[in-house]
Amino acid sequence: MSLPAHFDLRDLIVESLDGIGGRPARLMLTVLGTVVGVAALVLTIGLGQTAGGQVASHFDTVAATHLEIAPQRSRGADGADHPASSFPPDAAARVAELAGAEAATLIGEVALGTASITAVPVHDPSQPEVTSPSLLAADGDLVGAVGAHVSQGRAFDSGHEARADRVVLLGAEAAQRLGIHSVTTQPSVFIGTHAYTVIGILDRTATQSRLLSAAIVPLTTARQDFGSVTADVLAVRISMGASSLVAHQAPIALDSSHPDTFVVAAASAAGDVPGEVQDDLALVFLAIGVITLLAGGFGIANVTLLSVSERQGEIGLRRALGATRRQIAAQFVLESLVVGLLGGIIGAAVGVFAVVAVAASRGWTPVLDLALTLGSAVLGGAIGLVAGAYPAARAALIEPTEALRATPGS
Amino acid sequence: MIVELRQVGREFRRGTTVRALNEVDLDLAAGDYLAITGPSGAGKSTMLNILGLLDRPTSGEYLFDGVATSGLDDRRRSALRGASIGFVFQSFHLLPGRTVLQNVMLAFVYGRVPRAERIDRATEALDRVGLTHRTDFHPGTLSGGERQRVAIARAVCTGPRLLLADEPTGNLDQANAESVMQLFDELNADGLTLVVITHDIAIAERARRRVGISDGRLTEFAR
Ligand SMILES: Nc1ncnc2c1ncn2[C@@H]1O[C@H](COP(=O)(O)OP(=O)(O)OP(=O)(O)O)[C@@H](O)[C@H]1O
Ligand SMILES: [Mg+2]
Repeated sequence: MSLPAHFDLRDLIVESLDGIGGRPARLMLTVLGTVVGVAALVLTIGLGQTAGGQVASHFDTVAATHLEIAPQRSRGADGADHPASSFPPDAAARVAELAGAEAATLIGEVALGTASITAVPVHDPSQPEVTSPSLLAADGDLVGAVGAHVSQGRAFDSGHEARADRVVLLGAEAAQRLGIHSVTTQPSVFIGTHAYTVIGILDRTATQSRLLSAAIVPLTTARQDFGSVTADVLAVRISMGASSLVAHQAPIALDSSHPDTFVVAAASAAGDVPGEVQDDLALVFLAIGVITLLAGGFGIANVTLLSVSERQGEIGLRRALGATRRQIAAQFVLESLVVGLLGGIIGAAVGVFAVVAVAASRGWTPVLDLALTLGSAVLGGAIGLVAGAYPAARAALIEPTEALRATPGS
Repeated sequence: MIVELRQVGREFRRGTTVRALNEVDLDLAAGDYLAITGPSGAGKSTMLNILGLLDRPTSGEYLFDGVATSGLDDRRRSALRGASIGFVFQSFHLLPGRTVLQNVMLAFVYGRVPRAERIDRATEALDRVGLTHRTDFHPGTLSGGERQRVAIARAVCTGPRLLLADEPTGNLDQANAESVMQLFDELNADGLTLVVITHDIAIAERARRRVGISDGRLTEFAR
């Protein structure tokens, strides 16, 4: 008596592949669901990573071209932090003159106390209470130094500063809160009891995102109307590659005897709104991917089930030739695994292609994690494996006598 | 003894109980050539399936080559079937997508034959059934007689101890049936133990032993 049969792995693979190759047209339809599902997954992951790389490189660019200088802070006798130094009045001009510096501005917060910023002169109790925007003061080239974009009107200039004119720039958010949509009619806002003319609206900045929710007035005007104002930061835009030079020279320019009382840091980019939009889109793609993958799995299961019932005669013959139930099951499981893997590989390729195409159309650099891409292809195989389990069990349980009776072979 | 059936019975329960085999006793020695005849539904195929380890008796014992088979699990029964029993069916059961040679070689997948020997042994088997010139043909292009001879080559290429044939000439014309029966005579002359089911008395007469089955009961005809 011979030993119990062991399935030679190579025989198993050959027999399974033969079963798949027998019907190429059906194979195409069977893998379609997995292809679409895996492609959608790879596209989602790839677009996410590509956009992420894009955001990261945007952050890098901002950090390489913008510096922020602040007074060193030290703990005083009262236990609270105090600035160890203050900016000289012409700080912006001094730093802007340095080689490699392109623009500089001092920015400080103005304490409003009980006063507020409103669009109407008198307080109307019937109006809903709105939180007042904060008030900032700036000098020098504010727009240039923080990489701001003036969507309407213009920024204030050295003339406004010299005359301490009552002009105000509104961050887009602040403008919306105050109900100001246009500056063409030269609208006024009241800061405390003083009327200021709105000359421009900022809708974007590269750094200092607090500007968007604030009203910004010239530093000289602020000091005239609201008393002393302490600038907390000197924002500087520098040319690419000048970072270490300016970082070294600026503190000396500000206070040659105590340069170490200033801290220089690369600016961090203002938060990115498009990222959130991307997330919503990613969720939709992810859902499409998961749903089509499930559908693909059901497709494979169905076709394998159909194949099992069509090939009953073959199953009976294999049993007569000495196949065990396990060997029959292994053959069908491997068949659907290979179908799933095939779908996964094709889907991953389609997904990679789509990511590259989308990135190219936007002028982005495509970023895609190799392990995740290969993982998606393997996921297709796993789907096939799971989908094949039930049909394979059915095939294994068919009685050989029934199977041989079922379909006459050729 | 290659085959010993001891009071073998087989019942099918499907609503009503059908006794397809009833207390069957049979011994087959090596080199025997047995023909089984009987009306439709008498239990001939049921008996052949039990002899081929494709089905199990519901009562009695079947000893193959001295081994009681009732205690064997699926693995051992399958291994025994693959190594020691060959089948020939009325409807050939060839895989249409494979060549004649590949169809024969399928038997080696489950019969534990080393890969290096497979082509030679399959070619040899095809030579024996006179189909050397058809090795690369597909079954669809062959005559019925040729197809059945491919099936016989597949059944004998692993060197079985027992060959079971259920109506092997049922789909063949006179001439082709004759060539298949001629082949069986030769295989038996070489020592292969044969069991053939047939409703054709002329074919049954060629066997050295004849049994008839009627309502699941077996009677042996004296020669
Ligand atoms: N799987 C089964 N389930 C229920 N009854 C069965 C099954 N297989 C066979 N039978 C019954 O057992 C009896 C014997 O069947 P079997 O196939 O052995 O007859 P047979 O002699 O081969 O007939 P034929 O010459 O028509 O092939 C019949 O009554 C048949 O209906
Ligand atoms: Mg029958």
